Amino acid sequence: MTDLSQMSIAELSDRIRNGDVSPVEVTQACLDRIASTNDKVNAVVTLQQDVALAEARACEADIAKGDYRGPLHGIPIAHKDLYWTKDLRSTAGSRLKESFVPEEDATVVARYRAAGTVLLGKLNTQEFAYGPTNEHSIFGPARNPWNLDCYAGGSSGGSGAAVALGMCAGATGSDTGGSIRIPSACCGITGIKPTYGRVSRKGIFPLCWTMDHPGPMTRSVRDVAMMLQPIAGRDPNDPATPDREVPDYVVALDGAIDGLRIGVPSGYFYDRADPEVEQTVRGALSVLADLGARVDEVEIPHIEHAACAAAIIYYAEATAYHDDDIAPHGELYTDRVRAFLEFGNYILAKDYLHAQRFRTLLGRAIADVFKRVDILVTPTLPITATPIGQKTVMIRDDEQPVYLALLRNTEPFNLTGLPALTLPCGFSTTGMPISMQLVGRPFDEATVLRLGHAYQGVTDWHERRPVV
Amino acid sequence: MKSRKPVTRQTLAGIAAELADIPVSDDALEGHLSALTPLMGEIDRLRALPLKDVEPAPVYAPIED
Repeated sequence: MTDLSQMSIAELSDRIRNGDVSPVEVTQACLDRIASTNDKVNAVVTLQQDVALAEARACEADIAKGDYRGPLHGIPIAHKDLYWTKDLRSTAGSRLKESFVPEEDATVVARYRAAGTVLLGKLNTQEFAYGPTNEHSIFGPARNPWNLDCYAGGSSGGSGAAVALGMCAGATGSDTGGSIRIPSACCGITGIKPTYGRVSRKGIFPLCWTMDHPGPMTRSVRDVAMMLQPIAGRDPNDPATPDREVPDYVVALDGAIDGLRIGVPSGYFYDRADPEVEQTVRGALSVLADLGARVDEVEIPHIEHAACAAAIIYYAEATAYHDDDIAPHGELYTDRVRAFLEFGNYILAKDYLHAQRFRTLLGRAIADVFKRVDILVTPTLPITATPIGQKTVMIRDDEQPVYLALLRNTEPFNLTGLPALTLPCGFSTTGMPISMQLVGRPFDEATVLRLGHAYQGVTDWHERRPVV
Repeated sequence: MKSRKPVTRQTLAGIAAELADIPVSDDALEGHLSALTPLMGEIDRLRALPLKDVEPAPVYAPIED
């Protein structure tokens, strides 16, 4: 019998709608998967087994009587523990919030409930999402299902590991410097950081107000499109969400990519990547070219300053958010996150504003590039996941801090707020996933999804599953 | 634009204890210094970009309701 925990949301959705499969069966399959694998990867940190089964039974009854809410009805998902979930502990991975039970849902959580999803539980995160590895959490590190000695990536590491293993059909993440794309790439799954403001931040612990992007993580581009649909759009409770039309992302998947112009910014994104990563992503570019896309080299002026600007902005904003807690409760933070929060005190206000000016400069530079191309393709990460605790990594004879290497290719698009999709495109010789990143114009998630879907239509990297 | 002077342990200790009111241990100060020194150099390089007529990214929007 087919293992329901390994099926795509698209396939589960069809089977549930047709009555071939019950949401209870699907939910039980995910719970069984959690029971058999979670002790290895430490992805699920709060499980609500009985509630989930009750929700699944309610979905089953509603669908049976014709009250079908749409394609996510009866689909079991889980949320990053940064999201507020009503009556369910929401810790942000921190001792500071270890007993916090919200009285209301985040907007994203509420929208998924309205769409009829089943909530299995909460997923591990780097403390307050402050770091790209998920090594620093009250629950301990989330481990990589492709190699348990390595991190799952962060900050949404529990989401990456849980989705890769089939503990849930999809999950939420949040991305301030790469925290959806980094764990998705490390774990070999598909995730999108939508345009800044496309998805509401309301009810998600902030890391950095001007760069926080919530979004979904799944096992295919089609599933990402399905999960993005109900959460995209204006939320009166989040002033960053504009009142713009939301396209039908699933319908948009099937448009032509023939003639689509792909820009390849080699200098920054490829030349300092591990050669094996570069070679693999260039192989993916060849596949896209064979599908009819036109591939051209481009340059993005000033992008080498992105890491500096991003760091200044994280430090300043995160320290401001935690200002009331760090002095009286500093001992409750992990050493690493506490150190980051202390750094913020040394950032001058003028430097923060210079970094914000740089965002405008970089945004204009990339907008110029988008006059000549429709999409940018880069390696999501310059490396594959490294062992937990390892501080530095060698890339082309250059020793770099792991956390800087992980953030290098993703954080420019937090600064600019552009939509960025990550999807697997190969494996290293050591068996670790390698992914590419597709970046589009503001609010043009549809084009990046369309290109990613076309790629997954002729490749099977996204169908490979880790064995633990 | 003038380059800044190197950051010192004394500067960091003073800011932490006197301005931020979050005293930092000697060991932690060493770590902060080694992390912040290269960042300060990066900030100098960022300041050399053509930012003069560029507004910061977040701009205030009047609240309507």
